[in-house]
Amino acid sequence: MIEIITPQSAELNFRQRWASYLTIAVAVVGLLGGVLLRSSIIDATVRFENKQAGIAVRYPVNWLLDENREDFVLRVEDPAATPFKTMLQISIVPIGQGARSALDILNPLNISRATSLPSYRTLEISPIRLPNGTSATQMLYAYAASEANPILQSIPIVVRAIDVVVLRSSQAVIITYRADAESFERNQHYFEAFLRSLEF
Amino acid sequence: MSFEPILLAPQKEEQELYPYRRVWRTALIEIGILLLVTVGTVLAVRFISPRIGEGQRQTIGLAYALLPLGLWMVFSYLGERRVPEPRPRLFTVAILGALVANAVGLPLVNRLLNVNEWLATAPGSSRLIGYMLTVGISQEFLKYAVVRYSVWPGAFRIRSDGVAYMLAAAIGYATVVNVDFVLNNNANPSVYALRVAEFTLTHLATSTIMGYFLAELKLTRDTAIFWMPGGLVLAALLASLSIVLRGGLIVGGIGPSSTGNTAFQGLGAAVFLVVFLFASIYFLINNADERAQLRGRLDFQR
Repeated sequence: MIEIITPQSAELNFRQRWASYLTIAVAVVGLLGGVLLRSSIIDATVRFENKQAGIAVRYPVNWLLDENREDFVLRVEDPAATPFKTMLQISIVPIGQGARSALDILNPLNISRATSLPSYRTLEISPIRLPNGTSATQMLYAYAASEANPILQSIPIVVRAIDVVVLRSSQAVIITYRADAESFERNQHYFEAFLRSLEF
Repeated sequence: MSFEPILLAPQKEEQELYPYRRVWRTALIEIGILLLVTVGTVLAVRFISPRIGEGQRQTIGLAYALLPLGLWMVFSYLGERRVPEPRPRLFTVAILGALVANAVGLPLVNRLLNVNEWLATAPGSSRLIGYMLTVGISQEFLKYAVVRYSVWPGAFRIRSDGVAYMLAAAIGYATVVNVDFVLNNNANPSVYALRVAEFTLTHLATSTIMGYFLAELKLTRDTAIFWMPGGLVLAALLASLSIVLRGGLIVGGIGPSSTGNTAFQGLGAAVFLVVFLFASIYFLINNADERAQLRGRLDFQR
């Protein structure tokens, strides 16, 4: 049987009409508040400063910080990301007098990664300008990451990454962003905000 | 001194027949059966540990997800058809509740706002406000909208009509949430049973608030226009509180004897919410009915 819903004939009074309008207004305002709260939580950051390296940057507030290791100054990872922990990293590489362009940094990096990262592929290298006006070189690449724990059997994860290389006097600053291929674009705003907040 | 005559065949006092389905009774029967099945499943899994394949798990999960709707059909919907004055379009409201959940509620919460990604790790107060402004407001408003724009005010004759229609919308909404949980999670039957019971009880409990206010708005002359939006905020806050409490309660304490999971505590929170809200709304409705009766008598005497 098909039941046709027809509006009830009862006419609404002033209170009933305005109670309905206000309820809709409260729902809309509430949802807008939810959207604002979402962006304030997602975009909340903490300042990191390393005077020795001469670097200051802001990273997402709930991410896990690791600093001053041999191969990087700063590394932050999203603990909630699965299956691959989205990562932002800054490392500083000393360069000799002969280094003229970022390719002098990226080429040896490619060679070492090709042996250490499975299925490593360089996708694109292009010059860019950072939000603070500094010239830099950007390299896009991908590789397959596998679970470090052999007991946890899992298929390899395709990781997409970006390296941004900035040359400054006798050093090259390499800013890295890595995420699994599926969430790469969705999380790229973290990297962009990270680059915007970077101070040398 | 006066003497009452003793009659050999006293005239029977005719009891007034209540022409509507008793909403609270059927709702409590449904909740009782749902809880029995849930507790039985959890205990069975804990003590018998049956071997269940992956495909069978999901079938069992779907059966659990549809159980609240089945119970509502048997006790509320069929019960409605046996009374002299059935509530019209109750099933339509349940179907509309399911449709808005699937078309608007779940996509909004899971895809557009993606609440689990940013709220799960947020600090306590932000989590409470966040769930209230996203999950709480959206689900309570959608259930309200289903009733408000389909059967209200024409089908509302008594105060418990508000509860009956909102419970129908809640069952439809909760069924879609339950099915979504089962299809997106591969878990054992006790997890399915507990989650289905928690989701359903929370939806049933919070929906009574809007049901009460909808009925008041139709049947009472002096209802303030802020009651309805206030009811929406209260329902959203309680829905959020139940999510936050459940998250905190099901994580067990850290200790050598702890298993890291105390699932019954999460169910306990949902049961407490149902008992508290059902008792409160039942009291308010009875109180309002008695006041209305008294007012009617006084008007008649004048």
